[in-house]
Amino acid sequence: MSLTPDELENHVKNIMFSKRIKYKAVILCEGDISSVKNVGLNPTMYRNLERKPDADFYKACLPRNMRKNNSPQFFNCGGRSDVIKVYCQLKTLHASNPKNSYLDINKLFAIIDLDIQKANIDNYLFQDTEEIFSNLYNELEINHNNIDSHIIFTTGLIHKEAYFLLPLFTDIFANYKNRLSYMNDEFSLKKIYTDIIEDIDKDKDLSANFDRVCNRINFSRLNCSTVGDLKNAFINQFHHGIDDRLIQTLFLIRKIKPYWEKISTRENIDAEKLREQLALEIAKFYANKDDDNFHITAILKSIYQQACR
Amino acid sequence: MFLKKISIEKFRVLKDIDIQFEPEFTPTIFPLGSLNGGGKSSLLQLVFTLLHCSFNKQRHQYLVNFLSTLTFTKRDTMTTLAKFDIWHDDKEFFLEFMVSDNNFEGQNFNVFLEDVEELEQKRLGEALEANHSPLLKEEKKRQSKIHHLLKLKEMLYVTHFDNNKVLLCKTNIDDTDILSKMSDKVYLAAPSTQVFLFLSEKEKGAVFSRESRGKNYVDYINKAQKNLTGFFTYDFASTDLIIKSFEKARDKDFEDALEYGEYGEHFKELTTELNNFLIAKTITVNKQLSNIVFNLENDDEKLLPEDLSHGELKKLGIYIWLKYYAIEDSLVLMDEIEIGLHPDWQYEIVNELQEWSKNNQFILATHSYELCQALTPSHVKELEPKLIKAK
Repeated sequence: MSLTPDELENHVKNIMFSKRIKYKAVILCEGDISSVKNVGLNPTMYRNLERKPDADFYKACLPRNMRKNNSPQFFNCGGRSDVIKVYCQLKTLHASNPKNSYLDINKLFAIIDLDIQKANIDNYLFQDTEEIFSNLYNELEINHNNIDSHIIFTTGLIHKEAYFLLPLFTDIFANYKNRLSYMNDEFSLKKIYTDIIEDIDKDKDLSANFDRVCNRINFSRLNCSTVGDLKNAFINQFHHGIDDRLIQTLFLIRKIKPYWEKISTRENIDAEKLREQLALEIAKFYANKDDDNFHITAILKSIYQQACR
Repeated sequence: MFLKKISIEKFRVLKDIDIQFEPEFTPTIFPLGSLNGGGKSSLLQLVFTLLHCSFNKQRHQYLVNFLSTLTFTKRDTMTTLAKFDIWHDDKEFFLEFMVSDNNFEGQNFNVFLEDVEELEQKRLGEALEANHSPLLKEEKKRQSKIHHLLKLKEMLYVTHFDNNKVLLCKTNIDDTDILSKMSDKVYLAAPSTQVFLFLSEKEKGAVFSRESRGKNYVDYINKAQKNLTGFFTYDFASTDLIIKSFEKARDKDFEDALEYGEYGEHFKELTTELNNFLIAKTITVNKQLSNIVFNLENDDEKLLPEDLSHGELKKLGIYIWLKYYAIEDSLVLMDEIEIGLHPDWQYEIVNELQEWSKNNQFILATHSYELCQALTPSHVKELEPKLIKAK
């Protein structure tokens, strides 16, 4: 559900008047805003959160050498359209009285999910999220030539959660402290990928936005004549083995969160808590690798460098 | 070693406390929050003193000091102080610390006081002679009776305090070796501005005193650190530990020379390790091994103490402490680690602790939101304020 106009305005003011943003980059992210408060941040408040704020994932991904001083401040801002609204309203409100704001307008950024539907953005360099995506990524890679011209970044896969289940993390899952399960069975990335592919023709959003889906993955040469053909093309390719590019292509068009949420453990730990801790391990991997070829790392580095200028 | 559960019925401001720590969590770092005066430091000191000092007689004086801060009503003949569930060497253990009157089911605990003397005699090689003493034979008989009684109830005698009180421990551990090893796996790090309950009345009193026979509070803390191997304070610069680390590395190099005919690389490796740790500066020791020396990186310019960041030195101190004592598979209690650290560093210290020492359980008493943010909300434990009933 979107933020009401009052919630939006309060949230914008909360950010603008937050002392912790002084001299720092501000990164607006998707996620529940109830966790964002201006004052009295303490362990009790954090403990009382129902779940870890989504923006914390990006914070945890921040390369280690960017955490020395003045690291960016991340804010949950609701859904994707809310993030865009908060971004626009922050700019407007700040411009109306810059002296009454801790925000440095040149250090304001946003990271939003690509999603399957596009979202329009008024008065911005790009008209919508799909345009941002096309400019920011080249096939599956970050376009390093263009990245520093972006302020609002889209993920290079459909959602943030898509980055949790990449083949890259096979070892993290295999060596994780608690033995993982998927749908109460033995954990297997292969099984998850198979299910995601098998469900292609059941995905109503994918069918409804099929032209966009095909356009996004036209580099892949997969048969995109019909939804059924696309599913078969993925099945055929997948038979040859788990290929990083194929999985990333799949993750450009299929929502991954429902499958991520089927991961649990037989150990004595609640499944949601387990996934939060697993996501933290994945974020730590990105933070430690500090590799520009990873989408999230490249985005965070670009923001950091732009904010330092 | 992993502390799974702490239960405290009543200790200072702590009342009806039950905190669980989940060994399944990653990482095993648990912030502990409360309001100011909520009892975080008391809780850490209670855990540390009972677990670190109870099963090592050299540390009993600190335990006695600590226990002397307790108050009892006349009706309290047996009071539970704290209960711990511990996971150690793949086994589940419980320890329940209880304070008892000097009499236990008609038996007097004073026999244990004589036991101490007897042990001392044995150590001096006078045991044979003493065994023939009819008085000691009688004592032994009484002892074995009370030992038997305690054993039936899975209890151990720990120490006397306050003349007529006794600390007992109910536990399923019957091997004193395990208890002793476990006690060496418990550590406490805290600011030296903290008042430590395991110091004596006189030592604690030095906080409010100009000078007490030429000694101040810091002197007493230093003395305690010498006797309690698990106790560490975040001081301005951990000079002593840093120098000791260099000495240790030098000695290892010499041992290598004796064994392999060539000097080792330990000193060099330690220098590189510490230099990598520091930001744009280098560290070494002078020839006499009496001073640490900081220089600007790529420059011979010596840095003065006032040129150094408090936060950086604090982190260096914690790092060297964890490394020097090779603190691993242990319970590490840390009080207000965030003091002196920039909010970004408060966040980062959680990752650093994981890197600097493996497989430890950290319990971090803290007021820092940033520190908690590096973990999940379910990692954070809280001492909730108790409702005070209106009179």
